[in-house]
Amino acid sequence: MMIVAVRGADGQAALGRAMGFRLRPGRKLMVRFSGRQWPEVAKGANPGGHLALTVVEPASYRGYQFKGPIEAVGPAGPAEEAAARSYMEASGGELGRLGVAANLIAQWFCLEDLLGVEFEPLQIFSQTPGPGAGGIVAL
Amino acid sequence: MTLGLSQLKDCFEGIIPSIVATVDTDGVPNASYLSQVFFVDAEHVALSNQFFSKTAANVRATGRATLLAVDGRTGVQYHFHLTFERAIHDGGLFARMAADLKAISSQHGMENLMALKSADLYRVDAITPVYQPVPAEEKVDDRQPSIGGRLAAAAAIVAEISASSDPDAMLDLALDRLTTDLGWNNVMMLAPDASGTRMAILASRGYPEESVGAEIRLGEGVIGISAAARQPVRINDVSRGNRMASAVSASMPEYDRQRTIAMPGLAAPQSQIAVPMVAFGELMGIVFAESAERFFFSCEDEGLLVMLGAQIAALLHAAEDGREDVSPAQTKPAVAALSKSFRVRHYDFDDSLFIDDQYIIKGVPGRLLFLFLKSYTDGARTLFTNRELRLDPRLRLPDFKDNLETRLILLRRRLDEKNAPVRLSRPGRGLVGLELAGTPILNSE
Repeated sequence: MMIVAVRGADGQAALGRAMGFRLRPGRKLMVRFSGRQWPEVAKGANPGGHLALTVVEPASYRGYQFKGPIEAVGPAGPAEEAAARSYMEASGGELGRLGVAANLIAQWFCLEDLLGVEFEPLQIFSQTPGPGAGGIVAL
Repeated sequence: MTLGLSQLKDCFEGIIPSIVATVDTDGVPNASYLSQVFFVDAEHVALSNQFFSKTAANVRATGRATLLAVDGRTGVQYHFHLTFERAIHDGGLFARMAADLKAISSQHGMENLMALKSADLYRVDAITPVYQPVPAEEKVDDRQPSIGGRLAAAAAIVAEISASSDPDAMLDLALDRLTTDLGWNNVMMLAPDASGTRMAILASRGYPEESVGAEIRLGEGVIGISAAARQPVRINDVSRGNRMASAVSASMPEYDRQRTIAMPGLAAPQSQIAVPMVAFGELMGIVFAESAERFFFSCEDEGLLVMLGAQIAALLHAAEDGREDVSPAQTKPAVAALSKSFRVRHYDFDDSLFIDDQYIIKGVPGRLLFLFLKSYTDGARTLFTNRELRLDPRLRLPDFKDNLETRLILLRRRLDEKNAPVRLSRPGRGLVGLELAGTPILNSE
Protein backbone atom coordinates (compact mmCIF):
# COMPACT_ATOMS: atom_id res chain seq x y z
CA MET A 1 0.00 0.00 0.00
CA MET A 2 1.16 3.53 -0.69
CA ILE A 3 0.42 6.79 1.09
CA VAL A 4 1.15 10.22 -0.29
CA ALA A 5 1.39 13.24 2.02
CA VAL A 6 1.96 16.94 1.38
CA ARG A 7 1.40 20.20 3.21
CA GLY A 8 -2.21 21.09 2.45
CA ALA A 9 -3.50 24.52 1.44
CA ASP A 10 -4.43 25.13 5.10
CA GLY A 11 -0.87 24.53 6.22
CA GLN A 12 -1.72 21.18 7.84
CA ALA A 13 -0.71 17.77 6.56
CA ALA A 14 -2.91 16.33 3.79
CA LEU A 15 -2.73 12.63 2.99
CA GLY A 16 -4.26 10.07 0.68
CA ARG A 17 -3.63 6.72 -0.95
CA ALA A 18 -1.36 6.61 -3.98
CA MET A 19 -2.08 4.53 -7.07
CA GLY A 20 1.48 3.38 -7.63
CA PHE A 21 4.56 5.19 -8.86
CA ARG A 22 6.99 5.12 -11.73
CA LEU A 23 10.74 5.68 -11.87
CA ARG A 24 11.67 8.71 -13.96
CA PRO A 25 15.00 9.72 -15.45
CA GLY A 26 17.40 11.49 -13.09
CA ARG A 27 16.45 9.45 -9.98
CA LYS A 28 13.00 11.01 -9.89
CA LEU A 29 9.73 9.31 -8.96
CA MET A 30 6.30 10.04 -10.42
CA VAL A 31 3.52 9.09 -8.02
CA ARG A 32 -0.15 8.86 -9.03
CA PHE A 33 -3.29 9.48 -6.98
CA SER A 34 -6.95 10.32 -7.51
CA GLY A 35 -7.66 14.04 -7.39
CA ARG A 36 -11.32 13.18 -6.94
CA GLN A 37 -10.75 11.07 -3.85
CA TRP A 38 -7.94 13.18 -2.36
CA PRO A 39 -8.68 16.83 -3.26
CA GLU A 40 -6.70 18.20 -0.28
CA VAL A 41 -3.58 16.42 -1.52
CA ALA A 42 -4.23 17.76 -5.05
CA LYS A 43 -4.52 21.32 -3.72
CA GLY A 44 -1.36 21.03 -1.64
CA ALA A 45 0.85 19.29 -4.23
CA ASN A 46 2.60 22.17 -5.98
CA PRO A 47 6.09 22.55 -7.44
CA GLY A 48 8.40 23.88 -4.76
CA GLY A 49 6.56 22.05 -2.00
CA HIS A 50 7.58 18.73 -0.46
CA LEU A 51 6.08 15.29 -0.77
CA ALA A 52 6.36 12.14 1.34
CA LEU A 53 5.58 8.77 -0.22
CA THR A 54 5.18 5.82 2.16
CA VAL A 55 5.31 2.33 0.68
CA VAL A 56 4.41 -0.68 2.84
CA GLU A 57 4.28 -4.38 2.02
CA PRO A 58 1.11 -5.56 3.82
CA ALA A 59 2.27 -9.15 4.39
CA SER A 60 5.54 -8.26 6.11
CA TYR A 61 4.93 -4.70 7.37
CA ARG A 62 8.22 -3.79 5.66
CA GLY A 63 7.99 -0.12 4.78
CA TYR A 64 9.93 2.83 3.41
CA GLN A 65 9.25 6.53 3.15
CA PHE A 66 10.64 8.68 0.32
CA LYS A 67 10.79 12.44 0.79
CA GLY A 68 11.77 15.27 -1.51
CA PRO A 69 10.76 18.41 -3.40
CA ILE A 70 7.92 18.37 -5.90
CA GLU A 71 9.02 19.23 -9.43
CA ALA A 72 5.92 18.87 -11.59
CA VAL A 73 2.20 18.14 -11.23
CA GLY A 74 -0.28 17.29 -13.96
CA PRO A 75 -3.10 15.05 -15.12
CA ALA A 76 -2.02 11.47 -15.73
CA GLY A 77 -2.41 10.27 -19.32
CA PRO A 78 -3.89 6.98 -20.55
CA ALA A 79 -0.59 5.13 -20.08
CA GLU A 80 -0.48 6.16 -16.43
CA GLU A 81 -4.11 5.24 -16.00
CA ALA A 82 -3.36 1.76 -17.35
CA ALA A 83 -0.40 1.48 -14.96
CA ALA A 84 -2.59 2.63 -12.05
CA ARG A 85 -5.14 -0.02 -12.98
CA SER A 86 -2.44 -2.72 -12.93
CA TYR A 87 -1.28 -1.45 -9.56
CA MET A 88 -4.86 -1.59 -8.27
CA GLU A 89 -5.28 -5.17 -9.44
CA ALA A 90 -1.94 -6.35 -8.04
CA SER A 91 -2.28 -4.53 -4.72
CA GLY A 92 -5.95 -5.36 -4.26
CA GLY A 93 -5.19 -9.00 -5.10
CA GLU A 94 -2.48 -9.12 -2.48
CA LEU A 95 -4.79 -7.67 0.19
CA GLY A 96 -7.46 -10.17 -0.81
CA ARG A 97 -5.00 -13.03 -0.36
CA LEU A 98 -4.28 -11.68 3.14
CA GLY A 99 -7.96 -12.02 3.97
CA VAL A 100 -9.18 -8.43 3.52
CA ALA A 101 -12.78 -8.40 2.21
CA ALA A 102 -13.35 -7.15 -1.34
CA ASN A 103 -15.88 -4.50 -0.29
CA LEU A 104 -13.25 -2.91 1.95
CA ILE A 105 -10.52 -2.97 -0.69
CA ALA A 106 -12.87 -1.33 -3.21
CA GLN A 107 -12.89 1.86 -1.11
CA TRP A 108 -9.12 2.32 -1.24
CA PHE A 109 -8.46 2.51 -4.95
CA CYS A 110 -9.80 5.21 -7.24
CA LEU A 111 -8.90 6.11 -10.80
CA GLU A 112 -11.06 9.24 -11.12
CA ASP A 113 -9.25 12.48 -11.97
CA LEU A 114 -5.89 10.70 -11.83
CA LEU A 115 -2.94 13.04 -11.22
CA GLY A 116 0.80 12.49 -11.47
CA VAL A 117 3.30 14.25 -9.19
CA GLU A 118 6.98 14.08 -10.01
CA PHE A 119 9.37 14.55 -7.10
CA GLU A 120 13.01 13.99 -6.31
CA PRO A 121 13.41 11.56 -3.38
CA LEU A 122 16.36 13.08 -1.52
CA GLN A 123 15.88 10.96 1.58
CA ILE A 124 14.64 7.44 2.20
CA PHE A 125 13.61 6.33 5.70
CA SER A 126 12.92 2.84 7.00
CA GLN A 127 9.39 2.48 8.35
CA THR A 128 9.45 -1.20 9.20
CA PRO A 129 8.08 -1.50 12.76
CA GLY A 130 10.86 -1.83 15.30
CA PRO A 131 13.72 0.14 16.78
CA GLY A 132 15.11 0.96 13.33
CA ALA A 133 11.94 2.78 12.26
CA GLY A 134 12.63 6.35 11.22
CA GLY A 135 16.27 5.63 10.38
CA ILE A 136 17.73 6.97 7.14
CA VAL A 137 18.36 4.35 4.46
CA ALA A 138 21.60 4.88 2.54
CA LEU A 139 21.01 5.67 -1.11
CA MET B 1 -24.93 16.23 9.22
CA THR B 2 -21.81 16.60 11.31
CA LEU B 3 -20.00 13.35 11.89
CA GLY B 4 -19.33 12.52 15.52
CA LEU B 5 -16.57 10.31 16.86
CA SER B 6 -19.07 8.12 18.67
CA GLN B 7 -20.61 7.14 15.31
CA LEU B 8 -17.24 5.97 14.02
CA LYS B 9 -16.30 3.39 16.61
CA ASP B 10 -15.65 0.79 13.91
CA CYS B 11 -12.63 2.92 12.92
CA PHE B 12 -11.01 2.06 16.25
CA GLU B 13 -11.17 -1.72 16.10
CA GLY B 14 -7.62 -2.02 14.80
CA ILE B 15 -8.62 -4.14 11.81
CA ILE B 16 -7.27 -1.76 9.18
CA PRO B 17 -4.37 0.40 10.33
CA SER B 18 -4.82 4.17 10.46
CA ILE B 19 -2.21 6.54 9.08
CA VAL B 20 -1.12 9.79 10.70
CA ALA B 21 0.42 12.65 8.71
CA THR B 22 2.21 15.73 10.04
CA VAL B 23 4.38 18.50 8.65
CA ASP B 24 7.52 19.96 10.18
CA THR B 25 8.14 23.70 10.56
CA ASP B 26 9.60 23.79 7.00
CA GLY B 27 6.46 22.19 5.57
CA VAL B 28 8.05 18.78 4.93
CA PRO B 29 5.35 16.13 5.38
CA ASN B 30 5.64 12.80 7.16
CA ALA B 31 3.22 9.87 7.15
CA SER B 32 3.28 6.88 9.51
CA TYR B 33 1.14 3.80 9.98
CA LEU B 34 -0.29 3.53 13.48
CA SER B 35 -0.73 0.45 15.63
CA GLN B 36 -3.60 1.94 17.54
CA VAL B 37 -6.10 4.73 17.53
CA PHE B 38 -8.04 4.67 20.77
CA PHE B 39 -11.47 6.22 21.21
CA VAL B 40 -11.25 8.28 24.42
CA ASP B 41 -14.48 10.28 24.42
CA ALA B 42 -16.75 12.13 22.00
CA GLU B 43 -14.03 14.74 21.33
CA HIS B 44 -10.73 12.94 21.84
CA VAL B 45 -8.65 10.12 20.45
CA ALA B 46 -5.32 8.79 21.67
CA LEU B 47 -2.62 7.58 19.28
CA SER B 48 0.00 5.03 20.25
CA ASN B 49 3.49 6.51 20.24
CA GLN B 50 6.00 3.70 19.94
CA PHE B 51 8.76 4.62 17.58
CA PHE B 52 7.38 7.19 15.16
CA SER B 53 9.70 9.82 16.49
CA LYS B 54 9.29 12.10 13.46
CA THR B 55 5.54 12.30 14.03
CA ALA B 56 6.13 13.08 17.71
CA ALA B 57 8.70 15.77 16.87
CA ASN B 58 6.45 17.39 14.24
CA VAL B 59 3.44 17.37 16.53
CA ARG B 60 5.42 18.87 19.40
CA ALA B 61 6.49 21.64 16.99
CA THR B 62 3.20 22.37 15.20
CA GLY B 63 0.54 20.94 17.50
CA ARG B 64 -1.40 19.46 14.57
CA ALA B 65 -1.86 16.14 12.80
CA THR B 66 -4.16 14.65 10.17
CA LEU B 67 -5.36 11.09 10.53
CA LEU B 68 -6.68 8.75 7.86
CA ALA B 69 -8.95 6.25 9.63
CA VAL B 70 -10.80 3.32 8.09
CA ASP B 71 -14.09 1.77 9.12
CA GLY B 72 -13.11 -1.87 9.60
CA ARG B 73 -16.50 -3.16 8.46
CA THR B 74 -17.10 -1.08 5.32
CA GLY B 75 -13.64 0.17 4.32
CA VAL B 76 -15.00 3.74 4.24
CA GLN B 77 -12.28 6.27 5.04
CA TYR B 78 -12.31 9.45 7.11
CA HIS B 79 -9.92 12.30 7.70
CA PHE B 80 -9.65 13.37 11.33
CA HIS B 81 -8.13 16.81 11.86
CA LEU B 82 -6.36 16.72 15.21
CA THR B 83 -4.86 19.11 17.73
CA PHE B 84 -2.32 17.64 20.12
CA GLU B 85 -3.19 18.01 23.79
CA ARG B 86 -0.67 16.00 25.78
CA ALA B 87 1.40 12.84 26.02
CA ILE B 88 0.27 10.42 28.72
CA HIS B 89 2.86 8.11 30.28
CA ASP B 90 0.89 6.35 32.99
CA GLY B 91 -2.59 5.82 34.40
CA GLY B 92 -5.63 3.99 33.11
CA LEU B 93 -5.62 5.08 29.46
CA PHE B 94 -1.90 4.36 29.11
CA ALA B 95 -2.23 0.93 30.77
CA ARG B 96 -5.20 0.04 28.57
CA MET B 97 -3.43 1.04 25.37
CA ALA B 98 -0.21 -0.71 26.43
CA ALA B 99 -2.15 -3.94 27.05
CA ASP B 100 -3.94 -3.66 23.69
CA LEU B 101 -0.67 -2.97 21.93
CA LYS B 102 0.96 -5.95 23.60
CA ALA B 103 -1.90 -8.17 22.50
CA ILE B 104 -1.74 -6.86 18.92
CA SER B 105 2.03 -7.09 18.66
CA SER B 106 2.25 -10.53 20.26
CA GLN B 107 0.05 -11.75 17.43
CA HIS B 108 2.69 -10.62 15.01
CA GLY B 109 5.63 -11.91 17.06
CA MET B 110 6.80 -8.37 17.79
CA GLU B 111 5.91 -7.94 21.46
CA ASN B 112 9.43 -7.02 22.42
CA LEU B 113 9.73 -4.44 19.66
CA MET B 114 6.59 -2.48 20.27
CA ALA B 115 6.53 -1.08 23.79
CA LEU B 116 4.28 1.95 24.19
CA LYS B 117 6.26 5.14 24.82
CA SER B 118 3.25 7.33 25.40
CA ALA B 119 -0.45 7.58 24.69
CA ASP B 120 -0.73 10.85 22.78
CA LEU B 121 -4.04 12.58 23.42
CA TYR B 122 -5.56 14.67 20.62
CA ARG B 123 -8.69 16.77 20.32
CA VAL B 124 -10.65 16.00 17.16
CA ASP B 125 -11.43 19.36 15.50
CA ALA B 126 -13.19 18.01 12.43
CA ILE B 127 -13.99 14.76 10.68
CA THR B 128 -14.44 14.67 6.90
CA PRO B 129 -15.52 11.57 5.01
CA VAL B 130 -13.37 10.54 2.06
CA TYR B 131 -15.00 10.17 -1.37
CA GLN B 132 -16.25 6.63 -1.95
CA PRO B 133 -15.36 5.29 -5.42
CA VAL B 134 -18.12 2.71 -5.03
CA PRO B 135 -21.11 2.93 -2.68
CA ALA B 136 -20.20 1.40 0.68
CA GLU B 137 -21.99 -1.77 1.68
CA GLU B 138 -24.57 -1.19 4.36
CA LYS B 139 -23.67 -2.36 7.78
CA VAL B 140 -25.94 -5.06 9.00
CA ASP B 141 -25.78 -5.84 12.68
CA ASP B 142 -27.95 -8.94 12.70
CA ARG B 143 -26.63 -10.23 15.98
CA GLN B 144 -29.23 -11.20 18.50
CA PRO B 145 -29.82 -9.74 20.94
CA SER B 146 -29.13 -6.22 19.64
CA ILE B 147 -26.76 -4.00 21.58
CA GLY B 148 -29.61 -2.60 23.67
CA GLY B 149 -30.92 -6.09 24.24
CA ARG B 150 -27.49 -7.29 25.29
CA LEU B 151 -27.25 -4.58 27.94
CA ALA B 152 -30.62 -5.61 29.31
CA ALA B 153 -29.53 -9.26 29.28
CA ALA B 154 -26.32 -8.37 31.11
CA ALA B 155 -28.26 -6.43 33.73
CA ALA B 156 -30.47 -9.47 34.27
CA ILE B 157 -27.43 -11.74 34.65
CA VAL B 158 -25.81 -9.35 37.12
CA ALA B 159 -29.03 -9.20 39.15
CA GLU B 160 -29.26 -12.98 39.21
CA ILE B 161 -25.63 -13.40 40.17
CA SER B 162 -25.84 -10.90 42.99
CA ALA B 163 -28.76 -12.87 44.42
CA SER B 164 -26.62 -16.02 44.49
CA SER B 165 -24.81 -17.03 47.67
CA ASP B 166 -22.93 -20.01 46.27
CA PRO B 167 -19.87 -18.92 44.27
CA ASP B 168 -19.55 -22.32 42.62
CA ALA B 169 -23.12 -22.29 41.30
CA MET B 170 -22.76 -18.62 40.40
CA LEU B 171 -19.96 -19.42 37.94
CA ASP B 172 -22.18 -21.93 36.15
CA LEU B 173 -25.03 -19.49 36.13
CA ALA B 174 -22.90 -16.72 34.59
CA LEU B 175 -21.43 -19.00 31.92
CA ASP B 176 -24.79 -20.52 31.05
CA ARG B 177 -26.43 -17.14 30.71
CA LEU B 178 -23.60 -15.73 28.59
CA THR B 179 -24.09 -18.70 26.30
CA THR B 180 -27.88 -18.75 26.11
CA ASP B 181 -28.79 -15.07 26.53
CA LEU B 182 -25.90 -13.45 24.68
CA GLY B 183 -25.09 -16.23 22.23
CA TRP B 184 -21.42 -16.45 23.20
CA ASN B 185 -20.58 -20.06 22.54
CA ASN B 186 -16.99 -20.26 23.79
CA VAL B 187 -16.50 -18.78 27.24
CA MET B 188 -14.24 -19.54 30.18
CA MET B 189 -13.39 -18.22 33.60
CA LEU B 190 -9.93 -18.50 35.02
CA ALA B 191 -8.35 -17.81 38.41
CA PRO B 192 -4.74 -17.06 39.35
CA ASP B 193 -2.74 -19.92 40.85
CA ALA B 194 -1.01 -19.65 44.24
CA SER B 195 2.19 -18.30 42.69
CA GLY B 196 0.30 -15.60 40.78
CA THR B 197 2.22 -16.49 37.62
CA ARG B 198 -0.46 -18.55 35.88
CA MET B 199 -4.18 -18.47 35.27
CA ALA B 200 -6.07 -21.76 35.56
CA ILE B 201 -9.49 -22.54 34.10
CA LEU B 202 -12.20 -22.75 36.76
CA ALA B 203 -15.11 -23.38 34.43
CA SER B 204 -15.88 -23.12 30.73
CA ARG B 205 -18.53 -23.60 28.06
CA GLY B 206 -18.03 -24.66 24.47
CA TYR B 207 -14.77 -26.55 24.90
CA PRO B 208 -13.93 -30.23 25.18
CA GLU B 209 -14.94 -31.68 28.52
CA GLU B 210 -11.58 -31.79 30.25
CA SER B 211 -10.39 -28.24 30.62
CA VAL B 212 -10.69 -27.37 34.33
CA GLY B 213 -7.21 -26.73 35.69
CA ALA B 214 -5.65 -25.97 32.28
CA GLU B 215 -3.19 -23.13 32.73
CA ILE B 216 -1.78 -20.21 30.80
CA ARG B 217 1.15 -18.07 31.88
CA LEU B 218 0.68 -14.41 32.79
CA GLY B 219 1.65 -12.21 29.86
CA GLU B 220 0.87 -14.95 27.32
CA GLY B 221 -1.98 -14.60 24.85
CA VAL B 222 -5.01 -12.38 25.30
CA ILE B 223 -5.81 -13.98 28.69
CA GLY B 224 -2.30 -13.69 30.09
CA ILE B 225 -1.86 -10.12 28.86
CA SER B 226 -5.18 -9.06 30.33
CA ALA B 227 -4.31 -10.69 33.66
CA ALA B 228 -0.81 -9.21 33.82
CA ALA B 229 -2.02 -5.71 32.96
CA ARG B 230 -5.40 -6.02 34.73
CA GLN B 231 -6.92 -4.42 31.67
CA PRO B 232 -9.57 -5.64 29.24
CA VAL B 233 -8.11 -6.84 25.95
CA ARG B 234 -10.27 -7.15 22.86
CA ILE B 235 -9.07 -8.26 19.44
CA ASN B 236 -11.34 -8.54 16.43
CA ASP B 237 -8.87 -9.88 13.90
CA VAL B 238 -6.89 -12.66 15.52
CA SER B 239 -4.26 -13.57 12.98
CA ARG B 240 -4.17 -17.03 11.59
CA GLY B 241 -1.46 -19.17 13.07
CA ASN B 242 -1.09 -16.91 16.08
CA ARG B 243 -3.68 -18.32 18.38
CA MET B 244 -3.07 -18.94 22.01
CA ALA B 245 -0.14 -21.20 22.55
CA SER B 246 -1.13 -24.53 23.98
CA ALA B 247 0.36 -25.32 27.33
CA VAL B 248 1.28 -28.75 25.96
CA SER B 249 4.14 -28.93 23.55
CA ALA B 250 6.12 -31.78 22.11
CA SER B 251 9.34 -30.33 23.46
CA MET B 252 8.12 -30.62 27.06
CA PRO B 253 9.82 -33.16 29.32
CA GLU B 254 7.73 -36.27 29.90
CA TYR B 255 7.08 -35.58 33.59
CA ASP B 256 5.73 -32.11 32.68
CA ARG B 257 3.52 -33.46 29.92
CA GLN B 258 1.98 -35.98 32.29
CA ARG B 259 1.11 -33.15 34.67
CA THR B 260 -0.39 -30.66 32.24
CA ILE B 261 -3.97 -30.17 31.13
CA ALA B 262 -4.16 -28.90 27.56
CA MET B 263 -5.43 -25.32 27.19
CA PRO B 264 -8.56 -25.49 25.06
CA GLY B 265 -9.28 -22.97 22.32
CA LEU B 266 -11.02 -22.50 18.99
CA ALA B 267 -9.02 -23.73 16.02
CA ALA B 268 -9.51 -20.50 14.09
CA PRO B 269 -10.70 -17.69 16.34
CA GLN B 270 -11.24 -14.27 14.76
CA SER B 271 -12.40 -12.36 17.82
CA GLN B 272 -11.23 -12.68 21.41
CA ILE B 273 -11.99 -10.74 24.56
CA ALA B 274 -10.53 -11.05 28.06
CA VAL B 275 -11.68 -8.96 31.00
CA PRO B 276 -10.11 -9.02 34.46
CA MET B 277 -12.38 -9.69 37.41
CA VAL B 278 -11.11 -7.43 40.17
CA ALA B 279 -12.50 -6.90 43.67
CA PHE B 280 -10.95 -4.74 46.39
CA GLY B 281 -7.90 -4.25 44.22
CA GLU B 282 -7.29 -7.98 43.92
CA LEU B 283 -7.34 -9.94 40.68
CA MET B 284 -9.87 -12.71 41.31
CA GLY B 285 -9.87 -14.03 37.77
CA ILE B 286 -10.37 -13.48 34.07
CA VAL B 287 -13.47 -13.98 31.99
CA PHE B 288 -12.59 -14.84 28.41
CA ALA B 289 -14.69 -15.39 25.30
CA GLU B 290 -13.85 -16.04 21.67
CA SER B 291 -15.61 -16.46 18.35
CA ALA B 292 -14.81 -17.64 14.85
CA GLU B 293 -16.58 -14.50 13.54
CA ARG B 294 -14.82 -11.21 12.92
CA PHE B 295 -16.01 -8.16 14.87
CA PHE B 296 -17.86 -10.40 17.25
CA PHE B 297 -17.20 -8.44 20.43
CA SER B 298 -18.09 -4.75 20.42
CA CYS B 299 -16.97 -2.12 22.92
CA GLU B 300 -20.47 -2.45 24.42
CA ASP B 301 -19.81 -6.17 24.94
CA GLU B 302 -16.59 -5.25 26.68
CA GLY B 303 -18.51 -2.84 28.90
CA LEU B 304 -21.06 -5.44 29.92
CA LEU B 305 -18.32 -7.97 30.62
CA VAL B 306 -16.53 -5.46 32.86
CA MET B 307 -19.75 -5.03 34.88
CA LEU B 308 -20.35 -8.76 35.04
CA GLY B 309 -16.73 -9.45 35.95
CA ALA B 310 -16.82 -6.95 38.81
CA GLN B 311 -19.91 -8.63 40.21
CA ILE B 312 -18.41 -12.12 39.98
CA ALA B 313 -15.15 -10.90 41.51
CA ALA B 314 -17.02 -9.33 44.43
CA LEU B 315 -18.84 -12.61 45.09
CA LEU B 316 -15.67 -14.69 44.86
CA HIS B 317 -13.95 -12.26 47.20
CA ALA B 318 -16.83 -12.37 49.68
CA ALA B 319 -16.78 -16.17 49.57
CA GLU B 320 -13.13 -16.16 50.64
CA ASP B 321 -14.06 -14.21 53.77
CA GLY B 322 -17.26 -16.14 54.30
CA ARG B 323 -18.69 -17.39 57.55
CA GLU B 324 -19.02 -21.09 58.15
CA ASP B 325 -22.11 -23.15 58.90
CA VAL B 326 -20.53 -25.51 61.39
CA SER B 327 -22.30 -27.63 63.94
CA PRO B 328 -20.49 -30.35 65.91
CA ALA B 329 -22.86 -33.04 64.72
CA GLN B 330 -21.83 -32.40 61.16
CA THR B 331 -18.14 -32.94 61.71
CA LYS B 332 -18.31 -36.70 62.29
CA PRO B 333 -20.51 -38.33 59.70
CA ALA B 334 -20.75 -42.09 59.57
CA VAL B 335 -18.63 -43.74 56.91
CA ALA B 336 -20.02 -46.79 55.20
CA ALA B 337 -17.69 -49.67 54.42
CA LEU B 338 -16.37 -49.42 50.87
CA SER B 339 -15.81 -52.56 48.89
CA LYS B 340 -13.69 -51.08 46.06
CA SER B 341 -10.37 -49.27 46.31
CA PHE B 342 -8.34 -46.85 44.20
CA ARG B 343 -4.66 -45.95 44.14
CA VAL B 344 -3.53 -42.39 44.87
CA ARG B 345 -0.01 -41.24 44.10
CA HIS B 346 1.12 -37.85 45.38
CA TYR B 347 4.42 -36.18 44.45
CA ASP B 348 5.71 -33.89 47.10
CA PHE B 349 7.90 -31.73 44.84
CA ASP B 350 5.00 -30.21 42.90
CA ASP B 351 2.00 -31.62 44.78
CA SER B 352 0.85 -33.39 41.65
CA LEU B 353 -1.67 -36.11 42.33
CA PHE B 354 -2.61 -39.15 40.23
CA ILE B 355 -5.54 -41.52 40.78
CA ASP B 356 -5.15 -44.97 39.26
CA ASP B 357 -2.33 -43.51 37.12
CA GLN B 358 -4.47 -40.70 35.78
CA TYR B 359 -3.25 -37.16 36.34
CA ILE B 360 -5.69 -35.12 38.42
CA ILE B 361 -4.14 -31.84 39.57
CA LYS B 362 -1.06 -30.22 41.08
CA GLY B 363 -0.18 -27.25 43.27
CA VAL B 364 -2.43 -26.14 46.12
CA PRO B 365 -5.47 -28.13 44.86
CA GLY B 366 -3.28 -31.28 44.73
CA ARG B 367 -2.06 -30.62 48.26
CA LEU B 368 -5.65 -30.11 49.42
CA LEU B 369 -6.88 -33.33 47.88
CA PHE B 370 -4.04 -35.34 49.39
CA LEU B 371 -4.75 -33.85 52.81
CA PHE B 372 -8.45 -34.78 52.55
CA LEU B 373 -7.61 -38.35 51.57
CA LYS B 374 -4.95 -38.69 54.27
CA SER B 375 -7.37 -37.41 56.90
CA TYR B 376 -9.83 -40.02 55.68
CA THR B 377 -7.39 -42.94 55.81
CA ASP B 378 -5.96 -41.80 59.17
CA GLY B 379 -9.17 -40.95 60.98
CA ALA B 380 -12.14 -41.60 58.66
CA ARG B 381 -12.81 -37.88 58.35
CA THR B 382 -15.11 -36.76 55.57
CA LEU B 383 -16.02 -33.25 56.63
CA PHE B 384 -13.70 -30.27 56.82
CA THR B 385 -14.09 -26.59 57.51
CA ASN B 386 -12.42 -23.84 55.53
CA ARG B 387 -11.17 -22.44 58.82
CA GLU B 388 -9.25 -25.57 59.84
CA LEU B 389 -7.85 -25.86 56.32
CA ARG B 390 -6.57 -22.31 56.50
CA LEU B 391 -4.86 -23.10 59.81
CA ASP B 392 -3.42 -26.49 58.78
CA PRO B 393 0.36 -26.05 58.43
CA ARG B 394 0.58 -28.98 56.01
CA LEU B 395 -1.29 -26.97 53.38
CA ARG B 396 1.23 -24.12 53.59
CA LEU B 397 -1.40 -21.60 52.54
CA PRO B 398 -0.33 -17.97 52.61
CA ASP B 399 -1.52 -16.09 55.71
CA PHE B 400 -3.28 -13.57 53.55
CA LYS B 401 -5.28 -13.92 50.31
CA ASP B 402 -5.08 -17.68 50.06
CA ASN B 403 -8.06 -17.89 47.68
CA LEU B 404 -8.93 -21.22 49.27
CA GLU B 405 -12.54 -21.11 48.11
CA THR B 406 -11.50 -20.64 44.47
CA ARG B 407 -9.06 -23.56 44.71
CA LEU B 408 -11.75 -25.76 46.21
CA ILE B 409 -14.07 -24.83 43.33
CA LEU B 410 -11.37 -25.75 40.84
CA LEU B 411 -10.64 -29.05 42.60
CA ARG B 412 -14.30 -30.03 42.89
CA ARG B 413 -14.87 -29.37 39.19
CA ARG B 414 -11.73 -31.19 38.12
CA LEU B 415 -12.76 -34.29 40.10
CA ASP B 416 -16.23 -34.20 38.55
CA GLU B 417 -14.77 -33.77 35.09
CA LYS B 418 -12.44 -36.75 35.60
CA ASN B 419 -15.31 -38.81 37.01
CA ALA B 420 -12.94 -39.54 39.88
CA PRO B 421 -13.74 -42.03 42.68
CA VAL B 422 -13.37 -39.14 45.13
CA ARG B 423 -15.54 -36.02 44.90
CA LEU B 424 -16.05 -32.91 46.93
CA SER B 425 -19.37 -31.64 48.13
CA ARG B 426 -20.25 -28.38 49.80
CA PRO B 427 -22.68 -29.36 52.56
CA GLY B 428 -22.76 -25.81 53.91
CA ARG B 429 -21.04 -22.48 53.71
CA GLY B 430 -17.35 -22.87 54.57
CA LEU B 431 -17.64 -26.67 54.63
CA VAL B 432 -16.11 -29.31 52.41
CA GLY B 433 -17.44 -32.86 52.29
CA LEU B 434 -15.52 -35.83 50.95
CA GLU B 435 -17.49 -38.37 48.90
CA LEU B 436 -15.77 -41.64 48.19
CA ALA B 437 -16.65 -44.45 45.83
CA GLY B 438 -13.85 -46.65 47.14
CA THR B 439 -11.10 -46.84 49.72
CA PRO B 440 -8.05 -44.76 48.80
CA ILE B 441 -4.67 -46.45 49.00
CA LEU B 442 -2.18 -43.64 49.44
CA ASN B 443 1.35 -43.45 48.22
CA SER B 444 3.42 -40.29 48.59
CA GLU B 445 6.80 -39.74 46.94
